[in-house]
Amino acid sequence: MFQSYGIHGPLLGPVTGLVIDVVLLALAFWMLASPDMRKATNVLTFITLVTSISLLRVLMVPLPNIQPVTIAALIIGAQLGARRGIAFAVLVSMTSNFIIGDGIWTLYQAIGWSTVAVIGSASKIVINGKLNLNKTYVYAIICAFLFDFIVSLSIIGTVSFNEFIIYLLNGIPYDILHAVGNLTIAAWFGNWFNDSIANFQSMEEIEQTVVDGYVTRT
Amino acid sequence: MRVKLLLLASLLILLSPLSKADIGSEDNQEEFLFQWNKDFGEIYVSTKPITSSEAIYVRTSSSNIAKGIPSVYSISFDGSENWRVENANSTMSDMSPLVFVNSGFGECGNWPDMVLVGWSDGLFQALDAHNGGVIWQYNTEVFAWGITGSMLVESETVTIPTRGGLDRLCLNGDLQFSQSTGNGWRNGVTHVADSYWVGDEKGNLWSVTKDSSTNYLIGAGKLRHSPIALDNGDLFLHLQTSSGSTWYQFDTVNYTSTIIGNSGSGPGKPIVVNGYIITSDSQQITSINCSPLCTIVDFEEFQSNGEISEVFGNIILPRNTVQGGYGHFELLDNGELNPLMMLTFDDDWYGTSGVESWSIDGQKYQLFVNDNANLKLYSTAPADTPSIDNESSNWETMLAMLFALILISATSINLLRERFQSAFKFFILFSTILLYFTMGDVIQAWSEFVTDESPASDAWNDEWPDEWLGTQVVVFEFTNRSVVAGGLLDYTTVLDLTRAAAEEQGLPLEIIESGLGKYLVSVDDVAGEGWEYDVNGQPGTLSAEYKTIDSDSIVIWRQL
Repeated sequence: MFQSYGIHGPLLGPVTGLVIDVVLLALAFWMLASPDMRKATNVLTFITLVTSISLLRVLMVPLPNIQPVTIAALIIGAQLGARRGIAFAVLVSMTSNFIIGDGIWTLYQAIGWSTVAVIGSASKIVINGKLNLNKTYVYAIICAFLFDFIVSLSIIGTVSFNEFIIYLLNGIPYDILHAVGNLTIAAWFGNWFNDSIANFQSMEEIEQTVVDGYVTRT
Repeated sequence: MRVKLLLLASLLILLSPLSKADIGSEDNQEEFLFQWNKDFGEIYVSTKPITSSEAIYVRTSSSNIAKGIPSVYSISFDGSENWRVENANSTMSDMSPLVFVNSGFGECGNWPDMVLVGWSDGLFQALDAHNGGVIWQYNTEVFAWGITGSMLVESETVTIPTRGGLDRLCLNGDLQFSQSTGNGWRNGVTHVADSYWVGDEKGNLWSVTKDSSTNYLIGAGKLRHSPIALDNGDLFLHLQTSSGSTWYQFDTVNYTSTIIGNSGSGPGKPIVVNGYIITSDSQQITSINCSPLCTIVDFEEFQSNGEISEVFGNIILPRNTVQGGYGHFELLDNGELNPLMMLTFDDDWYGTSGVESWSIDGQKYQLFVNDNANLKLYSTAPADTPSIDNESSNWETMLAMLFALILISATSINLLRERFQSAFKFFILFSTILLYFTMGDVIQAWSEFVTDESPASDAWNDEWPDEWLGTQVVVFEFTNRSVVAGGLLDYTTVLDLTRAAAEEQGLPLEIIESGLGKYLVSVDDVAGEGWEYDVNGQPGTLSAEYKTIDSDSIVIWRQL
């Protein structure tokens, strides 16, 4: 588990921190560089998604390891594809940590939620625009443990292997709370969130539209 | 959707960290309320119960095995029995006070948290404080009876007044020396001027070292208490005589004794309170000033022949008559005694046991027991009764309980209607709330289960004073300096210990609430890149609020 307020990860100097931020931002914009993002409505919708989920994460900081971003990244990955899922994960990590606190963990959180988004894109939890809740629950539990493990890697280099294992073991109650929180968020808000972004065209749909248009003209 | 958002908002408000109000502030009423009692049966208790941070320990006594076997009990603070150790061979008066020893280490080895017990059949046992297991034991001389006096525990040794001598053992059980004296009864030992001092049943005061024992006749009578060490190196003695008792001041350099005065028969065990010596006997309670020469300051008529206790700044002592009860006296700054009240109970009877007292977060506790062997706990605010100060947090808890009840009801209704998705929604929300409210306890229990604690010796610094051995130590390592506080006792979490150490050193702490527990932001207004801690050299893996520690743990905070 991460940030258990015992062990801290390695300290970042200002230059290293800046480099990581620039790399993450560049990755996010590269992932966003696609034809549909020229549409102002899509850009606005995406900004709204990032802002609202970041705000929700900040608001939920008092609740130990209940992470609305995990389910959001999973569904966005499933609905909009891996690229925009990764962009979403990176931007939410950076934006929310700007308020909560920045450090080496931002990088690991971005990687963790990007991984969740990639898993979401390959999961087929959204079929014909509809969210399969039962499947989502299974992925919600897996992603909670996977994300926490990835973020825990941030302390490597400051502790021995045995201490790392003890750190992981100590984090299991937090992992369980993350998983239960994911289930709650998915059960209560999964369908609504999925429907809200259903009109946001996925990369595959855009490609299909372009191909269809080309075929029609020829 | 609005309903869902409203639900989320309610949940956020409910699950926000509850404000923990102080319990039992000075403004609270001082009335002590009955909490629980434990009746040990047809047996009696002659000595004061003792406490550690984890349990209460009490010993019973019997002269007839048919009425009960003399035992040592560990009792939790809710009154339930943790363990007991019986000694069927010990059927004389078991009145040697129990002593709790924190785990520690020294030149002769390591020892865990122990309860030291001297039995009247001469057996001396070191019991594991957590489970009552015998860690080591040692047999002392028996002549009609064995150990009845008060042992003396120093940094890594225990000195036992045996029936006919004095034995000093290392706290790992190794005998260091043994010397013979006159036969004693209820006699205690004191260490002054490089000698151990102990009285006997013929009025002798014995000076004992590793190599010798020398007696000095004080008077015709019996010395049945630990001599009291005075500031000038002299000793205060209360000699029981055939006609009453006599107070003496003994010069440990010239080996001469001076009579201070006479009093009643059956002296109790004197103690020092606010610089004044307090004695008791069948006639009176007396206040004596011994700086430098002992003079009587005040006395009040009262019959007490056992242990005197200082309880929250006042004096409480058992009345050793058939009516029983406890005398409650205030000791004024000038040494005068001011009788406050008689504390009476339904089971009042003869008694010699002192009153154990402690306070936690301003809530005061008192343990009473007499020859009826009925242990009673009283406190200023019952643990299960909400006080005015924490009314708001209880209100929030009640609201959360109500919310949980609604969720469970909704789950049940949906299950009955076979709407399983809806039932799951309510159930998982209920589970989240339940997990949130139990998270602190879960984290602590889990951490203790998965973490192998390393011994304090791993983090011990030889430059620290020996007096800190076996106690809790905190180090604040700033980037340019270190501040160390030691000799702390009985703190159960890293955060509690850290607060106590910081207060002792005058270092302000900034601590914030977070979902993962309390977080130390700065020490002495220095935040740096954060602070992280080690316990006995092992990195802390969770919030200092939840990390439990032993009685000898060494906590090091490092500025990043």
